Amino acid sequence: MKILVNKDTKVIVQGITGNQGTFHTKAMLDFGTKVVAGVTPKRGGQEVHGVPVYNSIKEAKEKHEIDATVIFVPAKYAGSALNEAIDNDIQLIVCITEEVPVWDAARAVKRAKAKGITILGPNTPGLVSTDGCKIGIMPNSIFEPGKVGVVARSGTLSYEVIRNIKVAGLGQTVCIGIGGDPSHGLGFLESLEMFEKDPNTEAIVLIGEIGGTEEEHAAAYIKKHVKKPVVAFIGGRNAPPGKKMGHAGAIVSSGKGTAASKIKVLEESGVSVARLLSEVPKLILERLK
Amino acid sequence: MGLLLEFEGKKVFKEVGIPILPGLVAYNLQEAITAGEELGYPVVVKGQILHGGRGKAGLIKVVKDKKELEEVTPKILKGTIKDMKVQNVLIEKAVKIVNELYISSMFDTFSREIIFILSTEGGVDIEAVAAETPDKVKNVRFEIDYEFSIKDATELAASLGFKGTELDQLADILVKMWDAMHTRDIQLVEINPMAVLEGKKIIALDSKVIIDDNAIYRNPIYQQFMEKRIPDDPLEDLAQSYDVAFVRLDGDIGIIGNGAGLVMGTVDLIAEFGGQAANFLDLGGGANTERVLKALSIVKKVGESGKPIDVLLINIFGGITRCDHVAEGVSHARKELGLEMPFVVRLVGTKQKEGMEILEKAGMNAFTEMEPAVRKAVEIAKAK
Repeated sequence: MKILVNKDTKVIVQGITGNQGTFHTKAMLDFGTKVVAGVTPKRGGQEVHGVPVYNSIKEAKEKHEIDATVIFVPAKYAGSALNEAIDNDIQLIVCITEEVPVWDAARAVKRAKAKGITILGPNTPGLVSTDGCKIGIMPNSIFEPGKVGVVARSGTLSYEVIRNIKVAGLGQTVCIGIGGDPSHGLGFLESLEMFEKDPNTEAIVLIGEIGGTEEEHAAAYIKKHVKKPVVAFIGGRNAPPGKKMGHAGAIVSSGKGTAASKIKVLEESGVSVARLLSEVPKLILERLK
Repeated sequence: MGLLLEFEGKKVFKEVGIPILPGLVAYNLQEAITAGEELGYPVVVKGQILHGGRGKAGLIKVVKDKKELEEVTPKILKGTIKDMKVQNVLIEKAVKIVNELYISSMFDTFSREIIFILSTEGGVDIEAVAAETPDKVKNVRFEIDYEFSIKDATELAASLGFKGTELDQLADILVKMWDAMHTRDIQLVEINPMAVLEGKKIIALDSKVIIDDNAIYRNPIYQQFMEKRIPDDPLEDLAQSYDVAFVRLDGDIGIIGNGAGLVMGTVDLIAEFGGQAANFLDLGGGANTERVLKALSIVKKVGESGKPIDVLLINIFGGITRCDHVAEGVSHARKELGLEMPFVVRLVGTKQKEGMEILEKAGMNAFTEMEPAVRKAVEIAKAK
């Protein structure tokens, strides 16, 4: 069993005819992802890189089996795109779109949970299973099948770490971006649970950043439930308080959510915290000895 | 973070029916004098600034006549706290306060719940009250899709011992807070203090409202607020118009990168190697040559308006962003923007080879790894 997706997962792209949708459909196909259809209202009947386009998910569902969807529509329409996917019972929804209103995301996640549907994001780079399924925008070149599971809040920071893991010869099982927004679906806890259960994952890397309390919750969870070695990196150690560092969720307010406090609780839970990104593979190797 | 000024928060309160005192906003002394006459003395002059601790900083003053108002208003208008400036003043009718309470509602994005916090002790730090006298603070959570009713609100307020007309007013305010959060993209409403006046009338004496930055487009009132704001740092405004995420820091190493996490990681790595970043600047995904030039022009202005920039570090992990587009921008930047400091460039990912070639033609070279690049930039800065 693979986590969330595998090489047979059938994926549709919402917003496939836009620039990002088109570009990343190609990159996903190159990776080996089974992209079976695209959806853009009023564009039904077209093709994008050989993938048929439909006006709605309902139409696409009449012709194809669908396991997952990836959303590239603009922020204003992301709420309704999420709802369309939920209404059509798509079991995994990956929302790449940035700057989605927080309430829209929270309401969608709430509805999805009630139906047992998983939402990844918004503002996520997506997820990759190295056996041949990429849903999202992570660069294809940094992956190699191996034994490390990666879960991250930030996209580019995780690319750096994922690449280092490949260069060190460790390789990855599944890499999950949970998204940089304060209100997102699947989080650290669910990801850690899946990695702990996955027989192919031998070590877990958690990449967090300042703001919020999710790393603190993860630390408590690890202490209680995770036996596999966990290595972490926390971005934003030198961020000034009260300033939003690019991600909506990355903000230190009234002394809470600092990198120092997150590092402390993670270390207390037995997690090895790297100070440099390049230390991550070294720490994994040490912990796997 | 979408923090509203006190007067902006109170405009929202007025629209949703949360009671406030009569008040007028003034951007200069003349407007303040007119406001004082209209409201009738005594009045309170309250500096509007996106920072706490206004009282201690002398930005809130009660004045009993025009003479006093003329004395304090110019000082408050010029006031600052840390790097923030007073935007304008809110002039409110001064009233006699019998009692001060605390109420807030917060959207907890982790649990997707609304947390109400109420206390019989207002006007003070609520966390201190909760630590010292926990029985004076009530903390209740409701899932965001719960149908919060006047009955729930009444029970909540009654549990802290409120009765009669006070209880009715508080319950009404709680329901209005709930509705406002749901219908106006609000993440936090804090009223501290909530004042009980003579005759038991309850009003919001202060306001702290945090809105969702991503939802400003569908709330015309927030758009109006933002248009009228005076930026604390004009460069932050410029960066916003260029669609790049920017924060001024106080070192001498200018930074441009793609992705918030990577740039945050770059700032950290500079510090780790003993250097200091001059700024945080995230180009965002898919930046073209023009956006790179615009970003470089912002960093140039950072150096001109603050500590000089000794070295410029460009850190690109190309995914959606293409290395050749970035290299094109960087190679033109020296001439077009007159940037004279040394550049340290790191390029990896999409169109890396093409990017490297463009830089070579311009007589520059680039690192492929992040740590050596950052180390080099720190060395150059230290040698200055």
